[in-house]
This record gives sequence, structure tokens and C-alpha cells, in this order.
Amino acid sequence: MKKFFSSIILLLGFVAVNAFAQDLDPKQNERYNNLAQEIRCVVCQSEPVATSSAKIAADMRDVIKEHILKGESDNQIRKYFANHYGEYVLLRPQLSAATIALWASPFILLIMGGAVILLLMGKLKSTPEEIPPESIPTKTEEDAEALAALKELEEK
Amino acid sequence: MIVEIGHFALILAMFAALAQSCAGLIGGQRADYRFYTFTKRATDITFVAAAVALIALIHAYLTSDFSVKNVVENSHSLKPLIYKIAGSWGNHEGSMLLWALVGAGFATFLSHSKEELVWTLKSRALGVQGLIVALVIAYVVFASNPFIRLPNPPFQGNDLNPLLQDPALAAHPPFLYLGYVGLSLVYSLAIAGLLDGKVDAVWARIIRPWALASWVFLTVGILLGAYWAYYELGWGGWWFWDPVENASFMPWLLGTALLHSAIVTEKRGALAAWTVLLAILAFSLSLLGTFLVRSGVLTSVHAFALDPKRGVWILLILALFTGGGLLLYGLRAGVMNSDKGMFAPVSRETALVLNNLFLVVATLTILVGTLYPLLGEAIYGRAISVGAPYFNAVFTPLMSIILVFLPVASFFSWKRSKISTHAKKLIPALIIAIIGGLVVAFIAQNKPMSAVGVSLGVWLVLGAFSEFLQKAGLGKSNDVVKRAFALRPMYWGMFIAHLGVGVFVIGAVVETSFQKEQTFAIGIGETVQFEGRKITLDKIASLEGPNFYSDAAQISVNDGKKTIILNPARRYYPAAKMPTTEVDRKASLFGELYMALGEPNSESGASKWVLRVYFNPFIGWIFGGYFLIALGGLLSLADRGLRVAAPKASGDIAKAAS
Repeated sequence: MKKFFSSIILLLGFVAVNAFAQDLDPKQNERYNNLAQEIRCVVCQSEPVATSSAKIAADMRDVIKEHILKGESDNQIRKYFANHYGEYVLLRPQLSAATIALWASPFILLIMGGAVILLLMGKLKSTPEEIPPESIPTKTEEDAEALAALKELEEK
Repeated sequence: MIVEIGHFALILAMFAALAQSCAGLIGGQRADYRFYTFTKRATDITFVAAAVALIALIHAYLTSDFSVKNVVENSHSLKPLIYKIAGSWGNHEGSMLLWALVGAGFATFLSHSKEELVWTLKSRALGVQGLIVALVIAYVVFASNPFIRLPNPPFQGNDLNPLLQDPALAAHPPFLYLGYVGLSLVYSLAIAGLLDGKVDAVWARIIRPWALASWVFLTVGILLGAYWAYYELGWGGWWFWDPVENASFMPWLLGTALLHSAIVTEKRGALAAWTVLLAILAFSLSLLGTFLVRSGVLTSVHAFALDPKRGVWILLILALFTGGGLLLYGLRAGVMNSDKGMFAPVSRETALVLNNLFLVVATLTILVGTLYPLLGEAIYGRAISVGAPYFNAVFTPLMSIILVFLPVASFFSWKRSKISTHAKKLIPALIIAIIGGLVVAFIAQNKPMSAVGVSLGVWLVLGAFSEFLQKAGLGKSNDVVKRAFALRPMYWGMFIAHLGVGVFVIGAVVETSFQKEQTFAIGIGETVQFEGRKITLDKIASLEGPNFYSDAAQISVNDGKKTIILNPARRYYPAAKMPTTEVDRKASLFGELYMALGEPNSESGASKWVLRVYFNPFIGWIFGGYFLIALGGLLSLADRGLRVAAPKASGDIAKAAS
């Protein structure tokens, strides 16, 4: 039982410590950590290789290290993974015809929203400078009555 | 027998909800009080019947009735009591039943609330809510029934996913559902307002406590989920931008926008149309979330009991309520043209409009990102992944922009304000924030963005204090503290929630930038070095729990001054055939030491254990900040001003309250 137990864990559990760990300088290590967050583990459900406990994720982490040590740039490494496993493997989609809408959407939404607001506010009244503060109603008799009613309610 | 009673009660609840729906809508339309009285009774019956159904299901779990399919699939006779109870809603069928019960419960609360002066609105809202509940129960009865019996019951169940056997996760679904479903009541009130033809300050005043309550529940639900992910998954992370997390985060963001815009509608009678739209969309997004999670359209670590057929049902419900709501919104645009409240470009109104713009754009960005893999597949025929790096890249800047303005905007008064008059009150906060950023930049020279982030967090925290103390009369009065305590809970709520945002930002920035992680292979009796600490694996003990085996490590950590013991463990649940990681943590002033035990590894001859060690700085600030946000909401909810019955002279009150 105990043996069965440990073999299952071996299969599913964390995978071995990395052999290359010592070879990366701090700057490379930071690149490694960022890339490991960007590459998707191919057998997991929406999980980067950085956190996945699957065997293949550990292998993919090693591949990232190897390529960093070879002196490749982040983009070259991303391309390598995309070529090997498909675009699917990149959690940060590369800019392309198919993803331009994705990357542009926040800007488009913000500009559209901003334009709508400007339009509506313009419609609400022309220029704010023209309205002297006194002309904006602050307290009328009606307000005073309503205030009294509100106070009464709150005291209840 | 009890299972059959539950099954019967469920069907009864469905018909009662239908009756509630018809009577409520007719009562509101004809202004007939008899129908209104009827719908209130029907609401009570729906609630009681749905409660009986859930209790019957819980009973089946407690007694391990393995003739019920749902119990077999999700329980085990040896499972601890609390998880037998929580297991009843920790699965798809049971969770939808809980959804329906909570929906009926909110309707009952509304029905018994004191706002009798607007009873036609209430009648219609109960009608709409009844329809939602009836359709959800119909879905449970016909497509995901938890009361199905098995012809040949097994002797033992398959157990609940062990990752879900956890106290935080036992409470996580109910809170999340209280939030999601609370938004359904806000939706019902919005539709009722449209039908009633009165969407004004009174209406805003009625919906605000419900919106606030659901938002607080949603906040707590998300907090519990994030905290669970942090200590249960053993990765030291707390937010993964997983589709299911996004599904809960989108309604939360829109709910946040709704709370802010409802203030404008209530106090100034403006933005009514916008508030209604947000109410409709917030509920639509929580339905969409349910659809995404349950249909398996998007794969997710949370996905359980997936079935495309169910997806179609939920999609139909979603289409009906979103489409119907938006259609009615378009048809009734006229009744909302009461936006009279004028305001200058620099005013609290403008600030809240900008707050809404950014929150809505952020929400839509997350929506686009979450759904984009589907679009990519459908339009371009390409499998595209959109993960955490994308969301971090777009969401963080969007939110940062709006947060920079928060302290300034909170000083603005209604209608018209001036930046210059308030600017000097914020100068101390600004200076300290910049110093804070510089200190971080000095400590960590290669992380300029972290310095900016910390600066922003400090700015938010001090900004919240500045604004609050100002309100308490800083500089004008001698007993600021006494006056602060005399302030209305509403102001305390705003202060605490905004303070929480700042605390959260500091925590999130420091944690993500300065987390330390190292993985060791360590034999018994061996010592390794980690961030100035000596870590020794003393022993590994094999233990047996009620429904699991466990290998528990005893690890002593010496930081030069004292030694502490941590006990991370690995569990194996034989019934579910799954291992889990039980991390152990030790919090200190500036962070938390976090250990996860991996598998034994005997490749190199000597038996070694894999040990992942993290130092998570300021992690408590993340959860603490989020907790403060929820607490702020709760304090606002406690404000009596929110709860008084809306008087008839509605428009005037709105003006007066400003």
C-alpha cells in the first residue's frame, strides 16, 4: 500500500528539482521566472508551467532554461514554444492578425466610453463656465421641507 | 423517503415560484393589492419549499444515502461531518439548488421589508424574481436533479474532490452565491422599476442596500476563494486569472461600479439610466459566469460535472434575462429621462462617472480576454490562450489610472468642485507616497514598477486618512477623534473600503515583486539554507486521517535567533485517488514563511523529499486589504439612512440628501 501510495504521488506530485538552477545569473533567473509564467503547461487546465506539478511542465521549464543559457531572447524562446506546441501554449498571446482585436480592445473600449461621456456631458449643458455657482440650486424651501421629513424618518 | 419529500418540495417550489411570478407581475401592472398579497404568500412558500429540498439533500449526505446518485458521486461515509454538509452544495446539482434557495430567500427578505409605500414596485420585483427562481428550479428538476435514485446502490461513495474538503471552501460557494443571487434581486428591482415607469432617487435608495449586501457577500466569497487557493493549492499564489475566477470578478467589478453610480442616482437624481443598465449587466455577468463554469466551454481548474446539455439550458436562461432586460431597457428609455442633476466637469459626479468608465472598461476587458479563446477558435480557427500575463498587462494599468485619482476625487463635492482648494490637504500624503516609492526604488533598483506600485498604495492609504480626518474636522476642531467616531457609518464605510484598496495595492505589489521561492530536495536530518534561515527536515511521520493517509514532515527553521517548527504534509485520498498538499505557514511582521511538501524522491539512492519554500512578503496585507473592503461595505450597510423607508415625496428627498 505504502509503495502504491508513493508511486502515485511520484506520478502526480511535484517534479524534481532543477538541475540547471545554479547556472542562471539573477537577471536570467528573472527572465526565466517570467517566461515560466507565460508558457502554458500542455497537459494541465489553464496553468502555466511555473506552477504545474506535471512531469511535462518540469521538462518545459528545463527547455526554457536551456534556451536562456544558449543566449536566446525572450521572443525567440516564445517563438520556439509556439512552433513546437502551437500558439495555444502562449498565455500571453503574440500580437498577430488574430489577436489584434484582443490587444486593442481595452483602448477601443476606453476611447469609446470616454467619447460617449464627453458627448453626453456636452449635451447636458453647453459650457460650465457660463453657469455661475449661484444659479445651481442648492437649498430651496422645498429642500428644507424634504430635509425635515428625512430627519423625522431617521429619528424613527 | 426524505429524499422523495425533498424532490416533491423542489417541484412544489417551482410551481409556487411560477405563481409568485404571475401574481406579482399582474399585481404591479393592475395596482391590485390582492395579487400583491398573494405573491407575498407564494414567495414564502417558494422559500420554505426550496429550503426543505436542500435540507432533504443535506440529510441524504449526512446519512450517506448511497442510493442517491448525487451522494455516491460526491460523498463518502468516512468524510468529516462539515464536508458532508458542505458537500451537498460542493457539486453542480446541489450548488444550483442552493442558487435557487438563495434566490427565493432574497425574494422573501424583500417581501417582508418595510418599503410598503412602493408596493407596486415590490410586487413587480417579486414577480421577476419569481420567474428567475422558477426557471432555475426547472433547470434543476429537468437537467440537473440531485434527487435521482440509483437502481443498484453501491456500498461506498466516490468522495468529494479532496481539494474542496476545506473550511474556507465549505463557506466559499454560499457566500459567492449570496452575492451572485443578490444581484438577481437588484436586477428584478431594475426591471420592476422599468415596468413601473419610475426609475428615480427613491428607486436608487431601495436598490442600494440590496446591491451593497450582494457586493459584500461577493467580496467575502472571492476573498475566501483566493485565500483557499493560497494555502490549499500549494503554489504560493492567490489569484490566477482563471476563467472561473474571472467569472466571479466581473460581476464584482460591475457591482462596484453600480454601488458608485447608485450613490449619484440617490443623492443627485442623475445617472438613473446608467444605474439601471449596470444592474441588468451585473446580473447578466453572474449568469454568464454560471454558464461558463458549468458548461465546460472554457476549461478551468474549477470545472466539475461538466455537461454541454446543461450549458444550453443556462444559455437559454441567460439569453432570456439579458436579452429581455436589455430589450425592455431600450423600450423604456423614456421613463429614465429624468437626468436633471446638473454638474460641472470638476465635481463628485464627474469623478464617479470616470470611476464607472474605468470599472466598466476593466470588466469588459476581462470579458473579452476570457471569451477570446472561443472567438479565436470560431473566427480564425486558431487555438489561442489568454492567461494571467495578458490580464496583468491590461488590467493593472487600467486600474492604476483610476486609483491615482481616487484620493483627489474623494474630496470633491457634489455639483461643482475645485481641485486647487483640496490639493493642499493632500500634499503631505503625496510627499510621503513619493518618499515611500523612492525607498522601494532604492532597495530594489531593478524594479521600478514596484516602486511606482508601492507609491500608489501609500498614496491611497494616506489619501483615505486625509479625506476622513478632514471630514472629522481636522484643523477646525480639537477633538477630531471624538468627531470621527460620531460620523455616520456610511462615511466610516467609505473610509475603510478605500483604505482597504490602498492596503491591498501595497500588499499585492510587494508580494508579487519580492516573493522568494526555492525548491529543495532534502533528506531526513539534512539542512538547507533559505534567505538567511537554516531549514532542517527532522522527520516524516505517516499518519492516517478519517478518509486520507498523510505524510507529515517536521521541519525546524532557525533564523539565527530562535527555532520554529513547521509541519507541511502531503495527503492521499484513496476514495478520490488524489493527493493534496497541506502547506504549513508561519507569519511574521513582514511576511509569511510558506512550505509545501512534495513527493519522496529516491532516484539518487538516498531517499529525499521535495520541499518548496516560499517567503511571501506582505501577504497578509492582500487578504487584510480585501477584508477591509468588505468591512467598509458592511459598515455602509449598517447606516440607518440607507434603510429608512422611502417616503412619497421622493424627488425632494434626493435633493435634500445632497
